[in-house]
Amino acid sequence: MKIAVALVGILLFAPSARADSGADVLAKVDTAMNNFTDGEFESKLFIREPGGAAREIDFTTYQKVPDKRLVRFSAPGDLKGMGVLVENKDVMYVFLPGFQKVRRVGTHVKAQTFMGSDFSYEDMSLSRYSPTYDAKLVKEDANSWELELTVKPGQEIEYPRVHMWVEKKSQQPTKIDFMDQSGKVLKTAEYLDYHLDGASHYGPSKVIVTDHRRNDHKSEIQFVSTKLNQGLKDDFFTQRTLIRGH
Amino acid sequence: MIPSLAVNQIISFSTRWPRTVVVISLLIAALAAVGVTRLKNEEDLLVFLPTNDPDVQLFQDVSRRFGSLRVAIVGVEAPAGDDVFSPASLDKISRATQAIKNVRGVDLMLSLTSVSDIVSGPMGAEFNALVPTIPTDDAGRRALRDKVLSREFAVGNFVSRDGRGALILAFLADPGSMKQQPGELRVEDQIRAAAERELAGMTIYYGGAPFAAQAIYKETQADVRHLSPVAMLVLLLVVILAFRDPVGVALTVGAVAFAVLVVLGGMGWWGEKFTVASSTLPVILFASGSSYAVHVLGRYYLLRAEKSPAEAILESLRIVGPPLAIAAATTAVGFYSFVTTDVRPMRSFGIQCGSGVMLCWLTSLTLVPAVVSLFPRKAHHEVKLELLGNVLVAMWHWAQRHRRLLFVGALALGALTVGPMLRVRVRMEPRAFFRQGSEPWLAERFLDQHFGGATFAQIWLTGDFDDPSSLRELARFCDFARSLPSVSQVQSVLTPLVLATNGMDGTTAIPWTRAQAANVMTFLEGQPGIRQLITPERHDVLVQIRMHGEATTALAALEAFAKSGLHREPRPPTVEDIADRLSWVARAYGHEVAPHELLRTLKPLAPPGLLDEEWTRRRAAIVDEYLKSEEAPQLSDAARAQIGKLAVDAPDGSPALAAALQKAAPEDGAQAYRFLVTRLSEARRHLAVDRAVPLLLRAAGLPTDGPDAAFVRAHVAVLADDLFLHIAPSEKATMPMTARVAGEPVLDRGFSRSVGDNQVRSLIVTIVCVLGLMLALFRSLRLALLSMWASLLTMALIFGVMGLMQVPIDLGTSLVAGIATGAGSDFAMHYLWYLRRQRADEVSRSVGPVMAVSIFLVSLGFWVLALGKSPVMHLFGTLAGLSMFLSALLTCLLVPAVLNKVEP
Repeated sequence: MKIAVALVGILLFAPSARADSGADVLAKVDTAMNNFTDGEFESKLFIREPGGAAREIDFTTYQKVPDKRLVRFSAPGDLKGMGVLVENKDVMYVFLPGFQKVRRVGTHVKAQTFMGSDFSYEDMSLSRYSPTYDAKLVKEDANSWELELTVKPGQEIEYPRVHMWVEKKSQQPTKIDFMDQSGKVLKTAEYLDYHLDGASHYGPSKVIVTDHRRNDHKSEIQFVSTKLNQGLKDDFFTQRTLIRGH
Repeated sequence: MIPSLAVNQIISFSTRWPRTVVVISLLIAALAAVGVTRLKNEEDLLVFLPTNDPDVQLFQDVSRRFGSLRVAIVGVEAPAGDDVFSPASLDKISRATQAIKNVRGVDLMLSLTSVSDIVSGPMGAEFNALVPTIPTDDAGRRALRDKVLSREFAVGNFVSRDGRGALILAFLADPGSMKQQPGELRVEDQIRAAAERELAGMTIYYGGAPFAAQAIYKETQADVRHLSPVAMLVLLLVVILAFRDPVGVALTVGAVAFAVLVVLGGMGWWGEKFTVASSTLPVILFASGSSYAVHVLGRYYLLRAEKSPAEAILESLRIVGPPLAIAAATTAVGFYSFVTTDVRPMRSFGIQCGSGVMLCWLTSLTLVPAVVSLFPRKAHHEVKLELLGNVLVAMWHWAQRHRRLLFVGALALGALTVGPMLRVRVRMEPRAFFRQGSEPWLAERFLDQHFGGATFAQIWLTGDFDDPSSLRELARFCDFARSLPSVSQVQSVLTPLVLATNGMDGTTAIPWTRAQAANVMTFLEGQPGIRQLITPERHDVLVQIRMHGEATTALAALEAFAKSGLHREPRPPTVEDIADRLSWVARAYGHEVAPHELLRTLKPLAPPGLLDEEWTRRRAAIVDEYLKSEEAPQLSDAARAQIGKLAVDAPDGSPALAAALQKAAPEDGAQAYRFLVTRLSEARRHLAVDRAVPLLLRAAGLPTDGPDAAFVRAHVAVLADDLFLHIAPSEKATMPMTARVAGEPVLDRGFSRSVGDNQVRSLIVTIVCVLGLMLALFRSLRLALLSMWASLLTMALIFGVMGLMQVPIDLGTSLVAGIATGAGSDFAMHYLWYLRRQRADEVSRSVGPVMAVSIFLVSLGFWVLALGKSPVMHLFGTLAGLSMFLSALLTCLLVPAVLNKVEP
């Protein structure tokens, strides 16, 4: 009898005492990253060429969770008016003011670097990791989790393995190593200075990506301003909006 | 006569304090040994490029600007009966591409499976992989093959025209910017390992400058590893035969080995890197530096028959010391003259060799006397050299009897060599370093056979490459280049630009507004390979021109065009410009047609009029499509119908159309008007181009079927577009356009020029210095000139024969003149020196054989290098050894022919 009570007690209380699994942590990360309905993010992208000055690209990203994004470039002059619309992970449009046309862009380009930076189009549109990766918790301390992610079978992605350090406070990554199948680190992303930019959403002030294959070439995104939950509607994320004002 | 005080003091010290000398030598050797462990290799052959030559500087500027220098090429050939489109081959290429891409130090990868294809379709621009998936059946394989071979940017760059060969291009990071991690293999070796692993079963070729440099370096190192022991063995054998005394043998070999160790150790301590050239140092010193100890010991063994050990060594040094000093100085001068070259590693090499020679001489004055003082040797006669002595005596007398013949003959021979000598060319091409059958040679052959050549010239243009007229001027230059003989391919940023424009607009055209060019370029910027064609600021463009065979004519034409054919202030193309370009395109395909003939077809061409049936149908469809699209403002059915009719009736736009749109969609109306009118204008132009292209193809005699038809058609379409295009006057270039021709042929020319100049400088310095030394020795201009005559005539003969046989001078042979003048004068100098003190017969019998043995040693030492696999080493060794031998032979004939009496 006593054993039965003990067993029941273990079964009842075990979940709360049970440590988070990798999948749980990754799910938390996805939730935390997308813990808003919609958002407007004003950013500056700095691309640091070896031996040269950094190039600066200013843009504003409108996002509606889970997948819709509209990016509008404001500087420098030759980019002004350009825009990219992501309707979902498979459908992307680009507007080039010089041609006065919106064109749909195929999926292969998503793996290529974005305007010479170390971010790919895929990076710019990836908002969740759980659909693509399985996660294993390798380490935990008072402030952070450390995860090993491996790509799920049948998924095609540039980085089949990922090592992620997650901050417990914001439940978002502070550092991510993107690796090839053998575990060689190809690219590293660092997320710095998380702060509350919404009621319950944390956002980094800066993301720095280093591409180790390109002689540690660096790119950096600085988030200038963030406005969350403004009530952006689905019909905002259309081709018409993309070209409006040009 | 000679600054002998210091030398006498050295000799005196060595014989009075032999143990001290030995200990000091051992300490120096130990220090040098530590220095050797600090030596670092310099495997990059580009350090041998002359620094001051403008063509070389241009080549380096281009590399710095575009990063185009270090491209490692992995070529693959499908097994016989197969092509690279088989599933197995494609899978291997794909995996190899990914593996090489992940090598640290590879900045960028381009291959069949990594490059993008931009296709315009009904849904828009499809940026897809050129090879999106590996086909699983024959039909898929054929379709993929047809698609890939129809892409002009792919054929000749990533896949051969016959589909049997493919290239993987790895652009490497600047090695100076990368810190190699401990235990990490060099980038080239990692790429090679990845290729061997993933491409097993295919024939693999390794080309491009990084692999070629590595192969040349390794081959030279292997040569030296094999040849150094051979040189030492040769020296050992000769010395054993000569002395038959282990201490004597050990001293002779040890003296040279000591000098080699000290020089290499000094390099290590000084931070000098160990290059391909310095790796020949041991062999050269064994050849040039071994004779000093031989002379000292040879005289010592003879004198030991009459004198005590101490007297014998002192007397030996007294007798041979002065001429040896001059001999060492003249030989060293030949090497030191390399400091006049503008190639830093060769300057260092000259100092290393010269210092090594001087060290060998110094060792013969210090360590050799010290050791024989500590371990006195017995006398012996050089029995076997009696025969040689008799031959030399006979030659002397024969020469004296035929002095007139020899004197006149020598002068005539010298005169006869002048013409052929002047015909000698300097040729510094990397392929001159490739041994037949070597890895770079095989790669070159593969590229020549399958990809239209392995030589790349480059045009570096500066200008405003957002400006549409500047882009068209760039296209003009490219068309001209294509028309030249030996040019097989021209690649520029225009290819992806036209493709991307087609993707964005559905038009095969170069952007016709600045905004379009800027938009497309920023979108292209993420594409692999773009950075090698245009800089991010878009003020510098690099055109790659692939050539086969002899490139001189094409190079001259390109330079002439860059100088006077380019429009420095670009303007919209005229119909005459288009006629010129079409004529060049025709010439590229082997058909000559004059521009004025083409004008007869070009001038009447015009876009379709309003009543043209096809145009009427098309514009109605375009208007309908636009007004129903998501881009258009939301309109009522009535408004849509009204606007549609207005647009069809006035495709160039009208106030009525603008007003109707503004009324129907106040927020978006103005924008919609611009969009609609633009679409209609472009559609009209497309129709005009579609109609013009077949006419132009026929007029220019260009192919309309066959493997090139699609490329030609696309090219002519771009040209035809310019006929109907209106570039707004506001579209003006913000800077003028300039062009400079660079690349391998230009680099080779600069390098060749430098080698030729360096040879002349080095030879002049050597002649002047050796003449000065001989004057100091003999205090007689006649004797000084006589001592050099044989070596100078030898040089004339060798270079004359090279001119006759059309053997070009390269980096190695350019050094032969200086070395041979210095070292080759030694025999005559020794002869004349002893003739002042002894009768001719005595000199021929006593000193002659020793000199002959030492000359034989030197020649043999250089000939050992001729056993090397490296073509450069082979020729250098052959000529250097031959020059030594000929100098000695001519000395034996000319000195007695000229000399009646020699004053003491």
